[in-house]
Amino acid sequence: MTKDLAVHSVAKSFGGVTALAECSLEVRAGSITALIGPNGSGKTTLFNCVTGFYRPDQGEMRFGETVLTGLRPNQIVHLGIARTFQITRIFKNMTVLENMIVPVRQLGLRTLFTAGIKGHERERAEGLLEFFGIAFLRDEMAGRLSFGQQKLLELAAALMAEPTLLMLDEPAGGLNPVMIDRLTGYIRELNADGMTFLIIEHNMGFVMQLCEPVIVIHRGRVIARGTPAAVRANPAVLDAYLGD
Amino acid sequence: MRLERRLGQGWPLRRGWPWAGLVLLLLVPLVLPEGFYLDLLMFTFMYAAMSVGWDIMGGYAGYVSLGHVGFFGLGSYAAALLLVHLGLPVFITAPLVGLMASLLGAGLGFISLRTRGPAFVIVTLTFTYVAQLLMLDLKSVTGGSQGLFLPLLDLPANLVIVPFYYGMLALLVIAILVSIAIRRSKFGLGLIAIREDEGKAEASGVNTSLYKILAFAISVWFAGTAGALHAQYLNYVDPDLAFELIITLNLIIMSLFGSRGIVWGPVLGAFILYPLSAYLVFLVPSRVAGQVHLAALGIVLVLVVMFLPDGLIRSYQGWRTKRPKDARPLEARASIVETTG
Amino acid sequence: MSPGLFAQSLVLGVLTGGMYALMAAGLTLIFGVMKVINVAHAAMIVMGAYLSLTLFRHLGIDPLVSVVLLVPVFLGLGALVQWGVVNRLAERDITLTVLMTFGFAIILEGLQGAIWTSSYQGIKTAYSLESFRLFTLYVPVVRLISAGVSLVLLAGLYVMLTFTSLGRAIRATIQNRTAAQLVGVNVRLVTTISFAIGIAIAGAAGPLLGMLFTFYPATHWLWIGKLLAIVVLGGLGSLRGAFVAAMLLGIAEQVTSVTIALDWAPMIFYVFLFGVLVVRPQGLFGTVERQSL
Ligand SMILES: Nc1ncnc2c1ncn2[C@@H]1O[C@H](COP(=O)(O)OP(=O)(O)OP(=O)(O)O)[C@@H](O)[C@H]1O
Ligand SMILES: [Mg+2]
Repeated sequence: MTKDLAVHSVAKSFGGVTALAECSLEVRAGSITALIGPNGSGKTTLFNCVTGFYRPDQGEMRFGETVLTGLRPNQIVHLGIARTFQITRIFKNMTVLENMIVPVRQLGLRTLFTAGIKGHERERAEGLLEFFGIAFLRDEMAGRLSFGQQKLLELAAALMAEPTLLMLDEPAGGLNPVMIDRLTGYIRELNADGMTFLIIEHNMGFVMQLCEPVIVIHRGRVIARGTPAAVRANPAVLDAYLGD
Repeated sequence: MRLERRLGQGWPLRRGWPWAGLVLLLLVPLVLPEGFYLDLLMFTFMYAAMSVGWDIMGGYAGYVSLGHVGFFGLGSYAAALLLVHLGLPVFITAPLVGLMASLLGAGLGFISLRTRGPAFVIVTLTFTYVAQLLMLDLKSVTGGSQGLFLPLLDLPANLVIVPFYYGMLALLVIAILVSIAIRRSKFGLGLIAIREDEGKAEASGVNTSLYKILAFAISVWFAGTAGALHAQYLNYVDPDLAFELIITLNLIIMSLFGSRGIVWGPVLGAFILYPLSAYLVFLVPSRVAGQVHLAALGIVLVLVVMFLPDGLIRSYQGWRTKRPKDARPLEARASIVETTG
Repeated sequence: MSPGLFAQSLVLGVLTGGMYALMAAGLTLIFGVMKVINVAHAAMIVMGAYLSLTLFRHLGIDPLVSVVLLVPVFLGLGALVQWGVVNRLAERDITLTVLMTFGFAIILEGLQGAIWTSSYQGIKTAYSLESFRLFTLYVPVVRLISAGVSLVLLAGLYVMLTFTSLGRAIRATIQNRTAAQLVGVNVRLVTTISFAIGIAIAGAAGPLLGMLFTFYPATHWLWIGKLLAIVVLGGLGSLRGAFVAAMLLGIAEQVTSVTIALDWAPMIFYVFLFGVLVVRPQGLFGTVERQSL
């Protein structure tokens, strides 16, 4: 029941700056797709368009059969697309466990007044925290966690929304090699369970060992797509990275 | 930190002292039938209840309303009209009048809460004036600046205050219970998520517009209901009395002073500030009392915003636990985890 | 509505709109650089009206002269308040900053009441009631004067914003604070200066308001509503938008007061305000983008 994400000639500009120009790409269900490109090439903007934070100037985005254009971020989450942010965003003044509960599907009349953290949701939350090795921090204020722990918490919380496609914006950014290894392991394990990934990353080592295919964008356009090796050998990609 | 969480979630209820306090307040009219104290307490309850309501929006969701008195005033008028034209007693209609306020609040929320940014401030700021203008201009219904007189309650003069005393006390109890329930619920968690980082809340799947609109609707119920009771208490409503700016101002100051976003914060604020201001107004020559009162409240608001933005409870907790203000990562334990993962 | 009456409303509306534009300019400028609604803006304008009234009554100083006198005073006060208290708060917490300006508005209202009582006032000069005929149209002199003064001041503001380096820095800060900072604009200083200019414009508008309308301490609630309607219709932070919106609403107000009733004329502002927020929250000229990283 996992779905493909299809982005068709999406464009977005800010005043005079064209962040995305006729950008088309596809993320196959079950893949770990990487999205790479030089700084300012439009990667984060693409994430923001897909997740409903920006409304594209033109183009269409589909998840399976569902058209995403015009939906609000919270609706898109409930279709099964969750994301993390380039600069980690967690609720610093909530506990770790509370951070995990926020993304749970909510607000029937019953949830209006019933206890926030209960039953199987709590179990799921604890299970995920366990999985990422941060369960012992469950009652800690999230703002007091270390940088790496905060990144894991953001990832764990994103999973609470039960996504089938997880979009990670520079998940390895700023992590030490040990943490990166752990992260690679987690992603592989989740992918083996059927989760699709779309990952923006500048750390090429991480990308090369984990992702296939790799999509390269430059100045808001896709300039290459293929296996890590093929992309690495592509002269257009080299030009993009060295060119400016 | 523990303490904060407990206080935030209504911890004292289990300790029993709020219940003891409630019993005490229930007994007051029997022991102390003097009008002056009952009057003072009744207004304290009224402000406390409305402040707790204000805080559901202003404290939990972080959207400060500058227009709660608009709902209070419209509540007064609605109750008055229901009584004058249909003969429905205010003590029965008050909760329904509150619901009307909630519906109106939801409507204004729909206008101003679908986007982030300043729309909510703008709408709540202007709403009071619009409401007042409407009551003034719809002369045939509201009597314009003449106001409306309500039939008196059929009670001996020295007992008249008692039902209002219990009415406002009940409103306060409901406010506190609702606030506790929200704070413990997923709904409340969503509101706090909105306050902390609205974009992230949305990315987490929280329907932020709906949450905010709902919170605002609940928040103004207390103002509308209190306004209804207040109209009967005065037996009179006119555009100046019903939409007195000082009311909104009081709610904001009381919530901020006690601590925003904590159930007992606004209650504490109201119980300290209302009696104090009632006493101080007493001291000023009445010719300028209203003006000086207004200016003084403005000054208090500015001072609180500058020097006590966290409020009494949160500042006290910070002082108690002496934790550093900015949160620091837990380095020692972090290193253990990161190598054993 | 007869064509003659309509033409008359048009003239009065444009003349009044000119002054509305001046009053709204400061509000939208301050919002532009700080992203804070200055709730006290109208209270500051009314303060200007009271000061001008006192100068006129006791020293015989013409309100048009006090326009010139009040500008530097309000400029200085604005700079002082912004640098001293508003700035520090605004960089930490927008919500609290709005509450602070709310507090300022209340303080001003209370002070005005305590000093000048809460009864209606107006500045009645020798030429207050004069008017002349232009073809068939009736043109009150004070409206013409206030529109003229407003246009001169707005033109000055426009020239400053368009042709000076300070103006460029202000516009850059309005558009994108972070980017402006990156290219070397001292955004803090620019914010203080812009705030001060906004307040100075409020001070200049005060005597004009006092000549045209009666006022009392609580009138600022009426005015802040009108100004917000203008600023929201024009797009928050857009001076050009505010100017056009002020003209539109000035005319709409006149037409309403002639065709429906004088009492209901203020309501037209709120109809526009709420209507715009429902249909196009970014106003006529504004753009919105959700914040994200
Ligand atoms: N909200 C915005 N307003 C104005 N310009 C923007 C906005 N968001 C992005 N841009 C511009 O769009 C372009 C693409 O930015 P984007 O953040 O998508 O790049 P990126 O590929 O994620 O870069 P990085 O690798 O540095 O994160 C950049 O020139 C950026 O300055
Ligand atoms: Mg990026």
